[in-house]
Amino acid sequence: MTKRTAPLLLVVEDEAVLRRLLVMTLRAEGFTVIEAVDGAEGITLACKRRPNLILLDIIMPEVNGMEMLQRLRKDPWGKKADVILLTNLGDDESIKRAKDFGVTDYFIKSDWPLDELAHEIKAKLKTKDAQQLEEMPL
Amino acid sequence: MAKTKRDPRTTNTQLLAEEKAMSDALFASLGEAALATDRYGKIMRINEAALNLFGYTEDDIVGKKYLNVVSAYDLNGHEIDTLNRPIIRSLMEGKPVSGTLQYVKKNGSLFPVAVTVSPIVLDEKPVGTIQVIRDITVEQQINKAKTEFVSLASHQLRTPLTAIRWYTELLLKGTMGNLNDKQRTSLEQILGVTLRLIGLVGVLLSTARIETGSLAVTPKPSNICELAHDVIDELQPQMSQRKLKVHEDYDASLPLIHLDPELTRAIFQNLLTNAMKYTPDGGKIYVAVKRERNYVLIRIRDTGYGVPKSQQRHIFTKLFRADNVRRLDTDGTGLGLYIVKSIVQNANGRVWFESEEDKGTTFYVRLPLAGMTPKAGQKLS
Repeated sequence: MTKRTAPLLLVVEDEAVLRRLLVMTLRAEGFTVIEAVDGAEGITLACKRRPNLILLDIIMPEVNGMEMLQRLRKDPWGKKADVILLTNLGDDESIKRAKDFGVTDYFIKSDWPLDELAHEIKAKLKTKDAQQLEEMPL
Repeated sequence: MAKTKRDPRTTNTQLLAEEKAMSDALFASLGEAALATDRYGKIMRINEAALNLFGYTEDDIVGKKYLNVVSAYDLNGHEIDTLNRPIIRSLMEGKPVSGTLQYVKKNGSLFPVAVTVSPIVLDEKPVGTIQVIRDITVEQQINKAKTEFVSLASHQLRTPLTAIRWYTELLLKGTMGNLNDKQRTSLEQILGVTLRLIGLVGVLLSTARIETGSLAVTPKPSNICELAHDVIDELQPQMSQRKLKVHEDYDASLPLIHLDPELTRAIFQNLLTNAMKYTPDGGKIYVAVKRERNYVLIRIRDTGYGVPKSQQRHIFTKLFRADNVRRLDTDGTGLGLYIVKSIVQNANGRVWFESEEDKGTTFYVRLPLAGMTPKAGQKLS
């Protein structure tokens, strides 16, 4: 039997307090979590470690979330990578741009209790696993 | 009335010349840009401010047909039909017409303006027009900057609030050690006010969107009675806690109406939350939605504290809160009714109320059965 490893999550968040809270909570939920402080570090880590899911903030210094997404979608692996935008920017224009980039979901951070957010992420990964199993040739 | 003694040598021609000199001076010294046309729309006069605004010289423009020289576009950049141009409407309707639109300068560039065109009437017939034009480029830039500022400020406010919210939740869960009852109560209060602040940021964003006219309207065929009932259902836990009884009375013959469900829900949410907040425990709230000719009439009545007579005229003003409830309730923002009024007015409806202190308040909202007009923009936050 092959050993099943915990799903790998990448948290890209410039706000240290929020990043620490997210990483701590997601690790407690059983995920392996890696972290990046901005989009530049995020894109490098994403392409190197190929996480199962990227949690991405938008407003960040240097390379912001939208710019990172744009670069990610140009990468052969990154064009299909699962990304959830986790931001406090709730304007329709940002949501529309994110949808155009094919993100899995768009969450407003302040609207989510932390544990519910972790459960939602777990549920999303389960759904994705089930879909991948269905798509596998018998 | 005393008559002015006139020099017999003064001729009619001289009088006319004096009158003309006076009106010329008046026209030239106007701070705003102004131009006058005859009844056929030929430009007769234009002042310095208007020439500067358009970039024309007097020779370029005087004596020419106004509609041929000055093109007009709406604020979205669509050319305005001749029949809808303020100058034509003013001549046809015989009364002043105001509007916000874009004009084209001599160099072809567009600029936003607020205009008022008044007909010059002689013997009850329009013989020309006078148009006063104000360049609103700076005003519009300020508006845009304001929206961007509010959006960014909201984001910046939400970030530390998220940190407070998440840390408090972790503490309450016991992740960082056990809590005694006092600590738990204090943390619950911190979480409560933090959630209130997060809600307030959303309300501020909605207000900014209303004020800058960027609120989206997306009408769908909606059952307004169901929308009302859903909102009441959501508020039921708080109503039960306060032992408030709700009576619902819906007109089953109401057709589906093209309404933006979110905006309509916001009307019910704000009015019902107010009725709840400002009615003592055990009180009653009556909700009725009825057809009234080509309108739907919503009536929300409570048996609450009411609004003092002296303060009733301020009730829809932004940030206003009546004295008698400010002492009772710390939750209100003074933005709820302002938002309701803005939504209702945008939908060509009307909102009003009747209130008697210590007896209760009834709010009425009348919306046209024709529904809301779609508009692109930002959603209510």
